[in-house]
Amino acid sequence: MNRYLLAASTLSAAVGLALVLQAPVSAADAPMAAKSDASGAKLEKCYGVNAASKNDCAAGAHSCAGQATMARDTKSFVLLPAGDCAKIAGGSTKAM
Amino acid sequence: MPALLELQRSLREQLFGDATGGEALLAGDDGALRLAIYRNTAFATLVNALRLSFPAVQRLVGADFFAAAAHEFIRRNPPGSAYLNDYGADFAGFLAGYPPAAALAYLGDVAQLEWAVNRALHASDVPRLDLAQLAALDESALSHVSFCAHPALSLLRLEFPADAIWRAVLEQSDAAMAAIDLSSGPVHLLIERNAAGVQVRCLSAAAWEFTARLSAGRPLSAVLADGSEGDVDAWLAEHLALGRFIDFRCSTSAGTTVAIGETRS
Repeated sequence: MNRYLLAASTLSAAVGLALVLQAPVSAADAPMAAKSDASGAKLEKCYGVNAASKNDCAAGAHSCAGQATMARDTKSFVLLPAGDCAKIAGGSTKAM
Repeated sequence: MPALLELQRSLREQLFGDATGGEALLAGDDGALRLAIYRNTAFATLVNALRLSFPAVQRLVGADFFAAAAHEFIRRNPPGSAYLNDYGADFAGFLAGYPPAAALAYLGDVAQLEWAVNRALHASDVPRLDLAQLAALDESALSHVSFCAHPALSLLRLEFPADAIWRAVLEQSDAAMAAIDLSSGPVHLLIERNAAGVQVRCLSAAAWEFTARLSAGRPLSAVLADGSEGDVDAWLAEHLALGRFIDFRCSTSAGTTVAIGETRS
């Protein structure tokens, strides 16, 4: 079978199958992959989707005068990652 | 009086570059102080935008390190758009080459995954491909079909198990973090948004390869000719049924392409 005939037969088979799958599609997940553990709502909270939006100036963490200086001069000390990376095996946090 | 363009360029240099002296363009003798307030506001807003897009990266490295890396990134890559959900596309690449993070070889992979999640969260809603249109095609048309992927769909092949790291970190699960094997080999991920929210799925290498080529717009006949070991019919049916494609085209053998599906902007 040449590639075009193969494409046509593959596609018509897939469309037929998809129409069957789509009938009760909603939340039922196809078998191709494991479902994510993180629920959508939880994820959106992590990504701040329900919090103030990025373009909201209130999210800028800044009032006005008196905030003129940087919180820290990031060049004046050696920075090392200091978060959850320490909990991951093999994730050395030593400076290289 | 400086020209407006001159003033704007100078201000941009003052805010994101190392230039000084631009305060001379501003009226009054406290120009430097006023500029510093403006600079601080700009950086605080942009660092916050990055924090919201990369929560797992921030948890991995800590808030101080994240702020320092973000500052450096912002200086090199000021935003090109006022829409801050679009800001940070290059952050993963920056982190992968950021010397202070060199000990965390997987950080760039986690950031790539977070950017794909961010894209999926903010992509426009687009009606899924109407399967009845495909079902109505004749064999000649069917054999020349290529697809247009949903804007929320991303396919990532990453060297480190970024999905496991990302999930463990966001769930704050010490046990899951301790169980991660960084040498477990590459992962083949599909990121999409459905009615339940953003989904991150792990595919087999063969299914991922097939899906990546198809969603890049390569004609189905060519993708099949590349060779795919696996249940291609079922993979394709799943993509169609779950709305991962939003349109299709039938390219003729002469090489011209005719859009068959409805044109959507």
